[in-house]
Amino acid sequence: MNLLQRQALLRQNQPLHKLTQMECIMGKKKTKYVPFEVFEYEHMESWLEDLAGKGWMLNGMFACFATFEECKPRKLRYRIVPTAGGKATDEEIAFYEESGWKFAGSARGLNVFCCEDPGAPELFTDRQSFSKRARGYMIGALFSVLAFAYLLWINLSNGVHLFSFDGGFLHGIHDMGVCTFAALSILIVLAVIVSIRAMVKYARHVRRISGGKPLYKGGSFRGIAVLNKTIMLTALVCVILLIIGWADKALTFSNVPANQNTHHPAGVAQVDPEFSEAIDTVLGMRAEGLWPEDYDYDINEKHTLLFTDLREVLAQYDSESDINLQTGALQKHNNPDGTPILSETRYYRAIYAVARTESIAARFLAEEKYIQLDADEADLYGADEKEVPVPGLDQAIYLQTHDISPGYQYLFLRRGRNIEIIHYQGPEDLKEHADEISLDLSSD
Amino acid sequence: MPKKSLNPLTEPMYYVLLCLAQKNMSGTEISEYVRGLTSDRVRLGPGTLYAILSTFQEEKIIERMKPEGRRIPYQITAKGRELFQEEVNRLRRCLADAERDYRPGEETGSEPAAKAGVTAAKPAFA
Repeated sequence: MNLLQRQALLRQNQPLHKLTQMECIMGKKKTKYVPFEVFEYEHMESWLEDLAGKGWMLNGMFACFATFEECKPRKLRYRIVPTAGGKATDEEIAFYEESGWKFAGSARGLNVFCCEDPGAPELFTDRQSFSKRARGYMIGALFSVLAFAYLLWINLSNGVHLFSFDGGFLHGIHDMGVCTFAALSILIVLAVIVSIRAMVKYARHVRRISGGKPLYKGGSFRGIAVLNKTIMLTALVCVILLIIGWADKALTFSNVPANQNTHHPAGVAQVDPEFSEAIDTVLGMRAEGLWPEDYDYDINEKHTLLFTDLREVLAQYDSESDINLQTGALQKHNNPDGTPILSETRYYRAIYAVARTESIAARFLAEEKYIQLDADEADLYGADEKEVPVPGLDQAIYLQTHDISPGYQYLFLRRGRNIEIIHYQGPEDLKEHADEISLDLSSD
Repeated sequence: MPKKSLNPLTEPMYYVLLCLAQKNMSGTEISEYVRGLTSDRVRLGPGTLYAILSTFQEEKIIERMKPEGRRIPYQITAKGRELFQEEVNRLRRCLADAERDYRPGEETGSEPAAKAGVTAAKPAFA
């Protein structure tokens, strides 16, 4: 076709080349994950050409996925044009189509063109034009590295203390703060790795083509595809863990609202009737219907990953100070006539839990014992530990620390999957109530 | 003041301006013309050509004319003509320098070669 004929065709809005038509024999479609990053366009081109050879033509792209239509296997050339602004303009697409390159799809700033005509010119025949486009992507990748590195630093500086495994593995899993921190850290580290790879690859590519090497070198895509699939799978697992964890937490709180009327098997009344009466007095003084959420149950979880039921009750009375010592503290309260409700400091915390398996229950109990003793600096001040002979229990341990008077007392009880932990400070002897408390633990 | 990347012009840029300095042409016509003119030595892919035409338009070196169907012709501006003339003059001076000083077959710099210990090969038929 000579120049005059071409001019005539263009003026009549006729295509100069017979563009690749997607005549599909079966009409079958499939969507595939594109296992390549934006900077791996050479591998993506090889992958698309390979699929076209197997009879799957690219029909469109969105995010990390591409749709294919089953067609007659054919030898196609695919070329990807990185465009910093996203999709190529209609003018640019028309420009390429005049040279025999059909627009096949666009996603993540990559515009895919295909061509069946082996005589059609390459899209880019000079290094400068292509380097310019690649350089734009490289600068974008540099900004991503900096942004993700900053996010990682923020995440690590805020959450690294959560990774003190002193509490034990099960407590780590159970704490959504730890899970969120771990999953976010993995996700951000992956993002940093991908961004650095993008920058390095583009830099190498620009250097390669500036040094006179061919613009398109092709090559096998399989290793890269496997690596990227692994990275994506890891990221997906992290996201699923986050969703499960958050959903789990959200459901427990919305479905099982805790209030002072919520039954808790290990009530303070079983151990210290005077303390229980004082709590009732304070509650009675409060406006009816007002939920003192910092007072009674501070955790009430059901159906978590580890437990089918987990409840915690906490009450504290400080006779000396008005300072709220910690969340859930019952501050110093006086009767309406000004006399103190109690004469001395009291503390009561009870955990009642039904684990999903017996081994989880045993492990959680052991970890909890370690955490409690560590928090009370029992190593420093010493603690007496003894088995309490309670019939029918798998574990029954009593502990007392000597750092302050009256010292902290603990009961760690387990029957099968059921555990109960009492942490008490007051005048009563906790081990004398072991039989009574153990009645809460039903056998499976 | 044109961009640093336009001074000097790259070979594809030079040929695009060479075409438009003669007459108004569309992208496809430029590509075909250059291919014929250089006996297939210089080929302008559509990506390359589009990038060059976009850069030239940004720099007001060329202008896009009214489309005729799907044919979009471009014309060179006065600034573009001036730039092209400067480039032609520069290339002429380069060529003149080479023609004045360079004599094929007359090698210079034998002294540094000798210093470096390079032994000149003996002519086959001395």
